[in-house]
Amino acid sequence: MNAVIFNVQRFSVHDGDGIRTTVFFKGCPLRCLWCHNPESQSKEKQLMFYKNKCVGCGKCLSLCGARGVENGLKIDRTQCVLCEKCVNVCSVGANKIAGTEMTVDEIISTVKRDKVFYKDKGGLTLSGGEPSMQPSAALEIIEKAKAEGINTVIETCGFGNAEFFKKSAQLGATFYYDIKAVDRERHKTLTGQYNDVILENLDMLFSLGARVVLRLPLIPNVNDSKQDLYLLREFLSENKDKYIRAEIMKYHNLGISKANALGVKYSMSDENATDAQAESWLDMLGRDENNVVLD
Amino acid sequence: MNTKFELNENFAETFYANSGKTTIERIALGMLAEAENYPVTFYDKTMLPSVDCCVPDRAFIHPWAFGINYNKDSFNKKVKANPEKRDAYYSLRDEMIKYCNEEQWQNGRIQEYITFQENDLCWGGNWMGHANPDFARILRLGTDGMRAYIEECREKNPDKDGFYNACKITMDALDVIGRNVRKTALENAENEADEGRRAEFLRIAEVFLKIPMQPCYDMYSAVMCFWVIFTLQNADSPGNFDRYMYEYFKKTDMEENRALIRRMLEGFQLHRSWNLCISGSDENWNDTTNELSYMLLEEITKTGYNTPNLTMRTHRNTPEKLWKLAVKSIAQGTGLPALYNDEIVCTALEKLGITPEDSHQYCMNGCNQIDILGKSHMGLEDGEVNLGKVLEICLHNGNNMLFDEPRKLLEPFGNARECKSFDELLELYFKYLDHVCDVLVDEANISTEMYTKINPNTIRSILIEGCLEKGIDYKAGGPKYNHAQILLEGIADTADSLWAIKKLVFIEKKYTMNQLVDALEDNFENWDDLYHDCKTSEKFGNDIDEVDSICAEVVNHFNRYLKTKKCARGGVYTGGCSTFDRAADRGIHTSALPNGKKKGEDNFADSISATPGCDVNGPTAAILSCLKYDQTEPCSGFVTQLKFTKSLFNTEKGQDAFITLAKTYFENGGQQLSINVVDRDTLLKAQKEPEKYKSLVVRVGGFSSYFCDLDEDLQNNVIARSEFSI
Repeated sequence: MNAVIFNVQRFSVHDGDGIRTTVFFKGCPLRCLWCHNPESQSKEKQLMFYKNKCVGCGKCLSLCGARGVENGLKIDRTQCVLCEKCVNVCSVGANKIAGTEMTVDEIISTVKRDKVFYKDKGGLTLSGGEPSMQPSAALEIIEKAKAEGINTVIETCGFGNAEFFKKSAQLGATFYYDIKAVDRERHKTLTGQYNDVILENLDMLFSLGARVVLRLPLIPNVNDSKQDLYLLREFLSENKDKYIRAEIMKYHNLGISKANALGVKYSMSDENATDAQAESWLDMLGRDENNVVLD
Repeated sequence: MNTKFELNENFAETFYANSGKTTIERIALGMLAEAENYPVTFYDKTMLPSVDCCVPDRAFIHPWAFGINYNKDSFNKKVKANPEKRDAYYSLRDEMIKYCNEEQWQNGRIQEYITFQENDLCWGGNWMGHANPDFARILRLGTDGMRAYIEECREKNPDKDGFYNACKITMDALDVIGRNVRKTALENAENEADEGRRAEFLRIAEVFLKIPMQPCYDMYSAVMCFWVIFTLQNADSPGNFDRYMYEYFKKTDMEENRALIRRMLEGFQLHRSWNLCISGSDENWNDTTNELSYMLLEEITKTGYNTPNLTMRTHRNTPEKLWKLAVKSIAQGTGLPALYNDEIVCTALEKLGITPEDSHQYCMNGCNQIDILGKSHMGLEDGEVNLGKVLEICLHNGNNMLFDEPRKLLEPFGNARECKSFDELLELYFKYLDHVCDVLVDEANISTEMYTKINPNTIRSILIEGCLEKGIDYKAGGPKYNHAQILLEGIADTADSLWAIKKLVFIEKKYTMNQLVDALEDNFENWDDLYHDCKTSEKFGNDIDEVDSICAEVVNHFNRYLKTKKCARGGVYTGGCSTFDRAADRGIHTSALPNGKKKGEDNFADSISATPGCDVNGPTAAILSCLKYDQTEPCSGFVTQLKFTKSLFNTEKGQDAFITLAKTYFENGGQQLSINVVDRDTLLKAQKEPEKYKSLVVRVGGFSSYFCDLDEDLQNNVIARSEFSI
């Protein structure tokens, strides 16, 4: 079984407990306005061009018709056939391909390499993109990791096939589950999809007694209006006995570079959320009452 | 302060007036004659009696710390200032030069070594170096007790009168210095307006009525006595301070202890002391951490000083509390303490025949050379070998390729261009490497013997077990354990180069050996494809078995080969690796290498870690690569460098992750871990030279990016806010 992956990151310390290896799946059903991994949205391979790393040697220009625009500093993406010649010829790593097909065994063998570091807490994290978009591969990974004694955390937007969530819960996975907006219309505006499926899946996980950590990406002036936060607080309050904790994911602007490298527009602010904002969110969501923390 | 351009003429005159006696006696008599003239300085911040008898701006230097020497600049300045004594000074100087016999020294050296050294292939020799004397010998017995002990030892070794006389005279000289401390303290008290400081001077004067003659009786007297001997020894390395001072510490109230420690930490900083060691295990793996260990760590964290190097010894029973405190200190940005693993260090030492009881008494001197406190002379950088440079001469028929005209350094052992397999090439490389070792070790031994003859060291002989007991000087094999150390450089650069050859020439057969060597000769000019392939071939530090296994093979070979070489003091040579900021210099002196390093580039591996920028799979992979070395072979500190920003340590989660990382490294065979804290300056450098900093990863939940991939304004943002872990 193969999976389309855009990164396997070892020593992840922000994606679950302990030291973890995070497998980033490529492809996502949502189109969140603030997406910090824009290369994760499409399941297809994509060329990323890091302009600031380019030393202007011109080697890629002679190989490719798509590279002639603006002295090579722009790519005509309609002409690009992802031949990867420009990637292979670049000595400074300015051209990269996002997305590679890996077999489940390849993924597991990389994950296993850090087994000595996992101890009792750490392990494997599936992230993305959206792992539930590639359910068979994801489940096979979880199963094989489990057979190796490695636990799995799934970072998910929840917009996926219920069966996947059920099976992975039965395999003992822990879910880091995003709540981007509680109001369904709001959710549609911000992410391109209604949140009905997301909330249904979450309810099912709750009813199965699965370990769930809620994750609340908060983006100043986008999904942190009084009304948004009020609804979120209510939601947390109703479910507070069912999740382990809720983590606020403070907006950061680092996705801009990736958007630029992909040649796509990035409509969010280039200002990071401040500590003061985060503090006020914590207060408004009920940090003690609803067990809300900062990631 | 009256230390500028002192001549130490009393020393020199007495030394020559006693030419009928043994060398070591003449030196001790000189020290005694000079003792009264040593200035005692109470620096404002420390109020401790510092005796700077060996500051390098003295024309004649003698062996409380440095060994006999003549300082040309200071001498000339002194002569200028005292023209009437010109002739007398010059005749003393001539005698001194004759004594050191530089000419004979030069003639004794190995010509081939000199060629190697001039071409930056290696370095070898001897010097007074660092040591970890057991200061507590004098603290416990006083000089009176030491004199009695010296007599006791003399009776057992009847034919060593010269040596024992010298040791006894040295104790007399220490008494003179003690009286001098008292005198200076009383004078200072008289001239001191501040009431508190006056009382302090009087208290010190009071203490020096008894010490150093009698045993110390509390922390105050012990610190004062320690400080005199320590500064006489050029304020080198305090060693396992929390062990040998603890008996005095526990007799004293905590407020006084803390005040004394703060004064000493200021003193260590002021004197640029080398290495202080805390915690560790005993031979039964009992933890030895005590209140003094905690107090030292806490107070050092408060100062934020990076001097002295702080070493923390860890093992299976290290308290969690100590780990947490250590991480807090590391997070401050100094990277201290450096972490050592008893489980591996003690095993390595025991392989040399050191008993478990003694191996568990190890500590550090200098940057990170391992010694057994008060029991050993483990050698102090007796030499260095640049493995990358050795590969260069191996590939180019014994030639140094750094110059327009290649320079022949030795007759080739074979032609690398004609190697038919990788194994054949590796065998050829080892021939060169072994030969360089042979030459280097021979030179180091000659130099050691020479140095030993002219620079016996009485104070270290008194403070290091074995010397008095055997009646043999510290430099001449007196200590209980005597070994020597050669440091490796350019490990990863060499392994990456060998892997590139194996892959491109012998596995993929994309190029021939001839093409590869030609390309190196041309510094890759007009070899774009080959250069690109070399540059992008897999590198050490990413947990890739094919590369790592070559690295381990080369290093294990070297470490094991060294141990077959005998050291002039007795014992054997062992390996170590702690390149630090010398790396860039070694890089510049190495020509083009198959790992894609061009002539003139300075990017070279720091210690046993990857070449900067090459370990792009994160710290777990970097660590797993380093675990492929047999780290129970090298006994001179086998330093692993990891880079993190302070922000990793901002949260408990990050701190825990770091502790897990360090513990895992140690449980699986790692010897040492140094944390390089990535600060603002590092990130600014990364913006300018992204190649060297490719491994910096910005980590946020669900997101990761290499720092150098970020757009410049976002990089600036990360630098300004430094809230993302790297």
